Amino acid sequence: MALTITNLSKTYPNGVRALKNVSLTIGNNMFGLVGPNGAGKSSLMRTVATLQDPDSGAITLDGIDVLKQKDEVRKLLGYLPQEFGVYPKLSAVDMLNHLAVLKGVTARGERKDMVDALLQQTNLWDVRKKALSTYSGGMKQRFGIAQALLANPRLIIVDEPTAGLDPAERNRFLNLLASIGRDVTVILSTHIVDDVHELCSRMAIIANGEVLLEGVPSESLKELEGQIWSRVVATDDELRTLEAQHHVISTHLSAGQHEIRVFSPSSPGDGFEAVASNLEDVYFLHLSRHAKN
Amino acid sequence: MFWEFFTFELRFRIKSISTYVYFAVWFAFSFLSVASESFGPVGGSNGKVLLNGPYAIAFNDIGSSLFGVIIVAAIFGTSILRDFQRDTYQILFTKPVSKFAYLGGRWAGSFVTTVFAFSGMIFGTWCGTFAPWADHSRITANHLWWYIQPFLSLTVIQIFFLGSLFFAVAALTRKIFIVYLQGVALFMLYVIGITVFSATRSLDHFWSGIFDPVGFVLFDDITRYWTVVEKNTLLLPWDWSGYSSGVFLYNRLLWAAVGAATLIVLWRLFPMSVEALTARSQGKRAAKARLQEVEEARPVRSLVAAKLPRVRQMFGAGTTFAQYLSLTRLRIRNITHEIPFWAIAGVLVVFAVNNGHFAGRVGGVDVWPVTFLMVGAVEGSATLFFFIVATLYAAELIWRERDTNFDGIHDALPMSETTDWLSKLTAIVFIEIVLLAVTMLAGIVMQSIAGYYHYELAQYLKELYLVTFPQVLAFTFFALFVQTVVSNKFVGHGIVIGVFVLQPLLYSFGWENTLYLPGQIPSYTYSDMNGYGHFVPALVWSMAYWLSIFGLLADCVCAPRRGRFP
Repeated sequence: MALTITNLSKTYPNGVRALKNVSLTIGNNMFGLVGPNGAGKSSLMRTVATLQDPDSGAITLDGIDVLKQKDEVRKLLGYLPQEFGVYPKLSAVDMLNHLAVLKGVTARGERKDMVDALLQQTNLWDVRKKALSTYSGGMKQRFGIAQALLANPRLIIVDEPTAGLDPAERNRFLNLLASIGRDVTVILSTHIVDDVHELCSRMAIIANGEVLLEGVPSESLKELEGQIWSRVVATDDELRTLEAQHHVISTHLSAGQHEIRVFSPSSPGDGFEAVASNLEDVYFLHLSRHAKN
Repeated sequence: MFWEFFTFELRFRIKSISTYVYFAVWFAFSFLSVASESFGPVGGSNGKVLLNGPYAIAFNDIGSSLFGVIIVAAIFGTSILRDFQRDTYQILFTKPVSKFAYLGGRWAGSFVTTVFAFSGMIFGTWCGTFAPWADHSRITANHLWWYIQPFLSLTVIQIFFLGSLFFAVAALTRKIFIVYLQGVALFMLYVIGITVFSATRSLDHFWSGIFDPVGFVLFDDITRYWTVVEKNTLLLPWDWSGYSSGVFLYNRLLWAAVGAATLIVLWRLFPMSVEALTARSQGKRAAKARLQEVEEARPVRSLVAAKLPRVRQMFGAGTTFAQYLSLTRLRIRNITHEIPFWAIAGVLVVFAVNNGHFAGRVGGVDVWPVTFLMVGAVEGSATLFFFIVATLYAAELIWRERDTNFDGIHDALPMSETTDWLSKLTAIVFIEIVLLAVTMLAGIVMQSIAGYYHYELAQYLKELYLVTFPQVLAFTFFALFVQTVVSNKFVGHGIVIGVFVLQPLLYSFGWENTLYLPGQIPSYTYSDMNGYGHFVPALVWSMAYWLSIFGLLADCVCAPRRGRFP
């Protein structure tokens, strides 16, 4: 499975340019999309999921024209939207059964096995007969994951799947996705950079509808090696001065004090220590460079 | 603080489209009562009573008091329930909010909004008097007091009384279901009560008038012996003058007092604490809390992901049919699991039973309640509900995915538009067929109660399923078509209801041809001697004509899926 996105552009009627000439090649692996809110991640995913048409550009999936042969794509697709609602007064098991039929799983036994397995996997087994409308945010999100994985999809698009999950459920979901993701294409969007680090063999950073970086997370990390420096700042004034002098990419609070991280090919001196780079540095560095341009 | 809640409520209502819809409903009703001679209850009766005279205005105000029950319930009931439906109560009740500010602000805001909505009656009548096509021999110069006095003494007091009642019940039960149920129940009880009262042929004009919570009996008690001149000059008296002296005054005082008493009871009983307000026994919220407790108490599970089983996906005619069945079942469940449907069905039955009771009375003479009379009686009241169900659920089903925000998942499913669309049509058709059967049962039951056991089932089936059902079906097609092409559900409702209401109007202006009155069939008469006789070909052709037109329209639009993302 290979998904090729070429020169995708989309401007909404209100003038927002959601996608600007986006080109990506996504192979048979997990692909992470990171970017701030409103970067265009969801627009891109909705377009690939056949829900909206771009103004220009093309998407192909193993020879299928995604923009024209929508039904062919939908047969392979498992999609979890960023936000979704549920019908009132329907239970999870009924709804999954229904959706499985719509996805073409008509053999009754297979359908039951799959629905049961997914309910177990997403930890919804005990509450499967309860109305979806009474589910909490995390439970609803897990239902969303379950419905996306019905019918062994070969193209999985999950838009912020870990939002609202507690750490244990998040880990369990990432494990599940990793175990499925070996022979399918998975596109995962998130604003938690760690998700991508743990899971994805390739990633792209998107901001303002543009791809800022596409590559392998470990390689991007390597490029920054020895160029990230950190120090603790005591006062806001000091922070302001340093911000003016250096390329500060992020600040963290550490026991009430600011710990700032600075990008610099050579030591910025003055109490800075060299630290190991992490994926968040990659992310913030690209965002800050983009903002400056 | 009170002011804050009050203005918040007003701002909220100013922004919601329903406020203007309610206003428009009353505006249209009173406008047409003047502008179209045969529309309103007064216009249709005595040909000399002024259409903008005090009698006509008061009568329309009373009509709006009855039919507006549900609007009052919708505005007052939802205002207090909003925090519990939208889960904002936790935010609200952790602020220093006083009971008076909270209840009073919400109540006062709803009151002003409702009065505004009903003021459509005043503006509608007034505008109607300027319609160039209206019968100006029945319209006189506008007197401001003729508008204001009935509005104040009938409508405003009615809003105060009913609104306080609904508001109190909503605040104390915190269930939207109860709010609408009491609206419907009040409406039904009143209609039945009037029927029962008129059946007693009582000559009491005093107590019956005082205890009438809506005003039809009251109005009749006062104006029964009014001459045309009196009807065109006299207002309902605020003093002891006129027939049934003082009845109007006592009645209004009584029901305003009931409204005030309800508010006092509410003030005493409403607990200002989240814990008391969301006690465990309360349905959905409690269920949610329980689920989350179950969730937390669960043992730790392995983090290792189990292998998911492999399934085969099959696509073809068999799957398409399975999709269709599954969708249809889901949509029928969607309808039958909702309260409004049962409210409509309940009102339908009540009307059917009520009218069925009088099926055996023709022109004041008691005859056998033979089937054609019975079916006419039960169906006569039910037909409107068939059309309401078609209008309502065409919209609900077409908009269901977008309204519940499920469209992101739904629209990415591998199934054809036609399957989805057909499932919506089938669900409505199924519901209509069931309602028709319920109507038939009501008829049979009422025949049995009257002690008449010669049920002509064939006649029931012919009238309900061969004459009425095709019209409902054609209308369903039309409603589905409209809701598919418009970009807003309420605009769709407006168009569908507009077309429905327009027909009798056009008819009364001399546009009588069934070929251009949407969905119309020629009027026909059934008799036990001739059956449908020579009307049959005309009926068949007109139905085939409209079914094919609406069917074709619906077919044209069923294909394109209008995604919610542009």
